[in-house]
Amino acid sequence: MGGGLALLAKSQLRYAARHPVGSVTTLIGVALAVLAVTAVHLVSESVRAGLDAAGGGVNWHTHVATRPDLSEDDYFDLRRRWRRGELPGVTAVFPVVDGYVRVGGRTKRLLGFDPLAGLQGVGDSAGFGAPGSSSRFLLEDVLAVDPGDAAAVRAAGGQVANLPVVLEEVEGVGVLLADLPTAQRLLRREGELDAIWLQTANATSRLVDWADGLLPGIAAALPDVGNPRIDSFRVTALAQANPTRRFADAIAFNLGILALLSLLMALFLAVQSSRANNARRRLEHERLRAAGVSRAELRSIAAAEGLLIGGLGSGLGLAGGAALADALAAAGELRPAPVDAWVVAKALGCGALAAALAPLWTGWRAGGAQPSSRKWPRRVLGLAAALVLAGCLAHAALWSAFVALLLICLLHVAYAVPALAGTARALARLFKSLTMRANLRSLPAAGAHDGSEPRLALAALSIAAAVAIGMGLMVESLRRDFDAMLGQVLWEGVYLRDETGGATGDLATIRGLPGVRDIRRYGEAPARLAHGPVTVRVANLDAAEAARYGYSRDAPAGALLNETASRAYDLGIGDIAQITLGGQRIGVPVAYVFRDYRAASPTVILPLAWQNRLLAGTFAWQQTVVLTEPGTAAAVAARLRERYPDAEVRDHAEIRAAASAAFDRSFVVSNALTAVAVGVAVVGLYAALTALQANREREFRLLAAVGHSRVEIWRLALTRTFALGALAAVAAAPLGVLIAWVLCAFVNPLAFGWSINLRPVASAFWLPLLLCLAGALLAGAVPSYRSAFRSASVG
Amino acid sequence: MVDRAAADSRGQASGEKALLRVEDVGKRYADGDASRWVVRDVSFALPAGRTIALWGPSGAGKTTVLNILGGLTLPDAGRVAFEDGQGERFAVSEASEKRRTRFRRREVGFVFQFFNLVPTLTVEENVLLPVELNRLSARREQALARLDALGLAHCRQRFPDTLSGGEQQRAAIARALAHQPRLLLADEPTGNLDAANAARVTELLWEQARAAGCALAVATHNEQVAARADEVLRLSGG
Repeated sequence: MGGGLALLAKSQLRYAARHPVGSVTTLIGVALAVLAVTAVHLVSESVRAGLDAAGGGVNWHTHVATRPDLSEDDYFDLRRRWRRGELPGVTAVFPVVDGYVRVGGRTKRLLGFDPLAGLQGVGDSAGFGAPGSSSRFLLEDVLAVDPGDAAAVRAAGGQVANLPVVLEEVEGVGVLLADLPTAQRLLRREGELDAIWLQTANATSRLVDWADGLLPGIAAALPDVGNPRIDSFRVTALAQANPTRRFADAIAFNLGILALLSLLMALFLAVQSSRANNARRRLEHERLRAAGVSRAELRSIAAAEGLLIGGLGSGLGLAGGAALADALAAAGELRPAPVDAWVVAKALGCGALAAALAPLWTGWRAGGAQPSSRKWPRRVLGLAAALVLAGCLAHAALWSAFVALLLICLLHVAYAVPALAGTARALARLFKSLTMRANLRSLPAAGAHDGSEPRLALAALSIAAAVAIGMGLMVESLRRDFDAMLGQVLWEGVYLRDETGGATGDLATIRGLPGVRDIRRYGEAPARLAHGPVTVRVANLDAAEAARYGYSRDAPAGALLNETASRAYDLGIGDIAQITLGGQRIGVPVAYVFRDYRAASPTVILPLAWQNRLLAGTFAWQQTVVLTEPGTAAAVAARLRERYPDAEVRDHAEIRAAASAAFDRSFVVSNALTAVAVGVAVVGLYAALTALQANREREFRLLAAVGHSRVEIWRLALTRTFALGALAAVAAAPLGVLIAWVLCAFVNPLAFGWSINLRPVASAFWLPLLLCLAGALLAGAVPSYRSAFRSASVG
Repeated sequence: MVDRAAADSRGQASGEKALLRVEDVGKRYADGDASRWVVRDVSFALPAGRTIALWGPSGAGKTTVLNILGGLTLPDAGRVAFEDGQGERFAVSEASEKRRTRFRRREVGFVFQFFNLVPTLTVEENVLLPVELNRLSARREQALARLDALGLAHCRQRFPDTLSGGEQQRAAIARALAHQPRLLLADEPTGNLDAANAARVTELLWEQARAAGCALAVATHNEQVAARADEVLRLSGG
């Protein structure tokens, strides 16, 4: 840096020290935003790591290839094509079979695959070791049965003893891993496959991975990007093929967007602080330009200051975010994710960039040509944005739903807020009070040359409040639907799950217990529906049972699909669902699609009659619901616990309470992130009002000179900040409803497969609006007091 | 309108080579849907070592002309050319923003009516700013010596807001000449000062400009200041 620039930098730092409000608020804003971004990233990583472990740690594939009637021949054909180099970007292929077996007296999920098949391109770094090289078959954290050990395994309805199996059980999860022939034999599905796992390494996949690192879960919004195209196969990314992973990714993505909102607020704040600095130092900059300092040099010095503040804020945010993520992981019994170089770079990068880009942008705007006074470019841009918005909503993809949300917010900032302020200014003449007139006329309307700074703060505050309203409306609506669903599904009774089969084999005894009204048994098995996985549940689907899923007519003749399955496989009422299970495929008509807020994965409820058409032994009959007479559920549960100590026994009332508590817990993070965004917006308003009141000191001196007391001047200043808060609140309410509508009608169905009935719940409004008003008053109180009393004393 | 009231065009008459040549310069500003000429048909030539006063009432366009001379503003009519010392003419009125900035940095010194000094730099740092910007470390001592010559030795480490108006203007003159520019532009340099300080600052301005051998253009409404100039250009607005 030249000596001149060093002097300018010194001047910049001294200015920041003399006028700390802008710098400190930017620092706080950046720190809070980076805290949110870091915490969401680390929690998402923890959740993913937990899911990967729960899936058997078998996470070294990136895609799943399927096709109807998949057989080993299909696999061999695919492998030939791969070895001939016809599958660019694919580095490994693994055949897989999946099912349930009984081992050690318990029903376990069994995953069979051929580890040798994918040796090319798959190394130990992926957690994989060749069988011959180790007595351990697969992965770390595995409860091992040594290769060659005999295990008593009962599968597919028969006893298969003394098999020299290569079999391992993932600790605590209950998933067994076996080599393909063993698994096929245990499942009695020789020659059959469920899927072919692929490992890919093409540039687009890497780009998606990189984007996913930046914004966890974004892969959920880009389901088909980077997937290799293979003739006659449907290829799905792992994140899409694994319903639980997809669900977690969707949550991570939604939380990531909320964290980005905080970052956006921080950017608003930095821009605002930078604009205030520019306004205060306008004359100084003019003099410096006269001395030969270029605009670019002034901008680069301001950007360097932004980098410094952003770096400091990012450091603080990173530390806070890591601590928060640790606490959240501990609360959720997850392993904390490490703060690696990527997290540090992301935190420092986004914080410092937000703080440094703001002065560059404001400097560029200040140095550019005067904006055109013609209205048509503005109108054309607005119209174009509205058209893009409509297109995004029609596109029905998760990413486009979020682009739509972004556009709605931009239109709000550019058009709605200034128009509202303009209306308020126009209404000023209706007020008798001259001070009220003055306050309303000072609101930042469109085209008001002095209003850009408060307008920015106002827009930020109203967006933050609107997001809080939108999230609140969505959560409250979902809560009501969720409660209705629980009331429908959870009859008065007791849930009984017994892996050993002791209880479920003793139904006559249970039926004889006092208070027991009826018993319902449920079988479950993993299957394939069209091209992807589905959980098939078999039940006695009489009218009463069907009513639990909201089906209001007589016993359905076909299957009931949950919304997730319906959306994932594009199946509706009357369609035929092709279910493949245990090597057999049946076509079942879809009788009804039900809401299922508890399940993250596609589920099919199949009438008992259809079970016999599938491989009956494949179903695990572990779940029973014991229906009870009114008021006897707790007593029945106690008796069942006593009689079957190894079984899981839960009163439905207890399950309902736990489900409600889990519901509330799941929104703690999103509520916290929304609060952070509102907090950053209030800090931004404080900074804007401080600058604004400083600009009004001359006016206050005049008022003091004509006889206004200090308190009167303070009241005047405070009324204005209240008017700003009220304006933000009025602007936030309709925007909040719009955001809630997009969340309920687009984001939730696309992310989780849930549709939610939007309800205008009053409680979702009052807290954010109160926060908006209180925040504005709080933000305005100190600057107003300072400027009013200082002006009065001078005047 | 321009009136060469005290038009002692000694520069042109004596055949001295013009450092700065201004030809039919005009500037207009938007006034609603129409536009209004603030200055029009301004022409003069200013040789090195000579002075010119742009004299007229408030709103006559004096500051606008000075800004055009310094390349801060572009004219809407006419042209301004500067002899760069190597026999090349630099067309100020046609140059890019970047080249005009470089021109100001190297060749021009500005003195304004008020707010001349960067408030967050000490007096010494203010004076050294143009020296550092031009990477002229050899001229540091000379620049600081001028500060002492202007009676500001005791103020070197002070910030501008602790200086009197007269001291600030003297520091501004020291800064404007620190990098030894060939053109000094002063915009109402005494407008903010009492009579005694105004006389002293005017005296110093002329003295320092003469000593440095640079051309001086002063915008003023003060007749006494204007009377000191070699040439007076009376402006009366568009």
